[in-house]
Amino acid sequence: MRRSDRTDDGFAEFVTARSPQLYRSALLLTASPHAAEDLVQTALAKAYVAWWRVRSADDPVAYVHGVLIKSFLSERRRKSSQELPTAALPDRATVDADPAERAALLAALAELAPIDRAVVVLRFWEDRSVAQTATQLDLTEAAVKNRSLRALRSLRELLAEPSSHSNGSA
Amino acid sequence: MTDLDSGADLHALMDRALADLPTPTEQLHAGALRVGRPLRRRRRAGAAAVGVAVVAALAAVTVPFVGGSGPAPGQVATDPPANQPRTFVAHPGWWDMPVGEMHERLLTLLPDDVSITGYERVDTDHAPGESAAWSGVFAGTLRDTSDIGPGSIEIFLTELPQDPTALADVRAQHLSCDLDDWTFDPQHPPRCRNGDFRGGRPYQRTVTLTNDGITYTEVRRWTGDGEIYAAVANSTQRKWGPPASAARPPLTLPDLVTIASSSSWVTE
Repeated sequence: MRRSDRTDDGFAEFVTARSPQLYRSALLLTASPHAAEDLVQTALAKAYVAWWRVRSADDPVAYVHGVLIKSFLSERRRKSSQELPTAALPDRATVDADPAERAALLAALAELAPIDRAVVVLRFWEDRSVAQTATQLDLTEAAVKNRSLRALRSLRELLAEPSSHSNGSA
Repeated sequence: MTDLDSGADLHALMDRALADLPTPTEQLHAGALRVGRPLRRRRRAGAAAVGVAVVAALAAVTVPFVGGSGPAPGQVATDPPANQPRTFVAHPGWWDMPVGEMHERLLTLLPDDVSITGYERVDTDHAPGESAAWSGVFAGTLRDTSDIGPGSIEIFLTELPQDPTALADVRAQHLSCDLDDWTFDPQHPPRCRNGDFRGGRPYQRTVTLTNDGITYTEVRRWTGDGEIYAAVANSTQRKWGPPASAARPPLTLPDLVTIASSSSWVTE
């Protein structure tokens, strides 16, 4: 078997095993199915290019999740403030466990600043510690705590409102 | 609607909300390979001076409306082809052209009244350890002398898959005028035409589509073992969405066909 074939096989196995969690994290970060798809593809492409490095990492899964977060923040920095919400694009038909709850959650997340969304995803979705989150996002631990509390408070208020938020953008 | 007294509550809410979320695994895999393979190919080719075209390929992924070198508009949200290629052996070729060289060659192909006002030279978000330089991809802004406003252009040079089944899939996606999967305003359906017929099969497809005030025009041509994709739009937004940056794209369809048909893209 050629080296490229082994790489592709190993990568395919990784994608099959890990893409659901990556996609969920990306959806929480971007609040848009299309943007989430773009983001995961970007992160996986980078992982594919540096596959030897991913494989040899202490925690390949954490490595790729880190790439996902970095790509999200980088994209957000680059993004024009005039860009329209990607939610304007038609979304994939999905089988929702609770479409209203998901829509409300994504809409509420979309109200947060991108860095706060990243904090939320790392702390409360991926269950990273404050220290790990701070390292990942290049923040101080105090900043992570403050942002966590602020984000949680904002989400609590937003989700307590009965109004129907539309699915927001990344 | 939901009480969030703690992070644990939020985690539980996320779990519930995403419990049955379908994951487009095949599509993610295919998209990652479509972007990642050219990058890895460049590394293998040892073209360190040229670098890697990460962001260019990234653009293909992050431009669901316009398609880029990836799926056509709307296709990003559809099921992947049944026979998705599983292996791909990359080869060095004209599709590895450095972005600076692409810029120089494009300058000679543009109409006299159209100029390049800027283009992306490096990927500020390149893969860890990889070069930030682009190759095989050109993404820039054009303006014509009538000063109607700027517009965007993309040119992607890509190697086609060698596997016959994979090649047939790509042919169906890139050269067919069956655009049922595309998303468009029913009042403004896309105009698609095939050309460059050889042996009764098309080797060129042109599509023009107007949606939300944005007119998007693309040309795909197959030459040898590679594809030349060129597209323009009257938008300078990253994803070529509204608002429109000009009344029309900076190049006409014939202009774009002329550019995409140039032999300069396949000349070393």
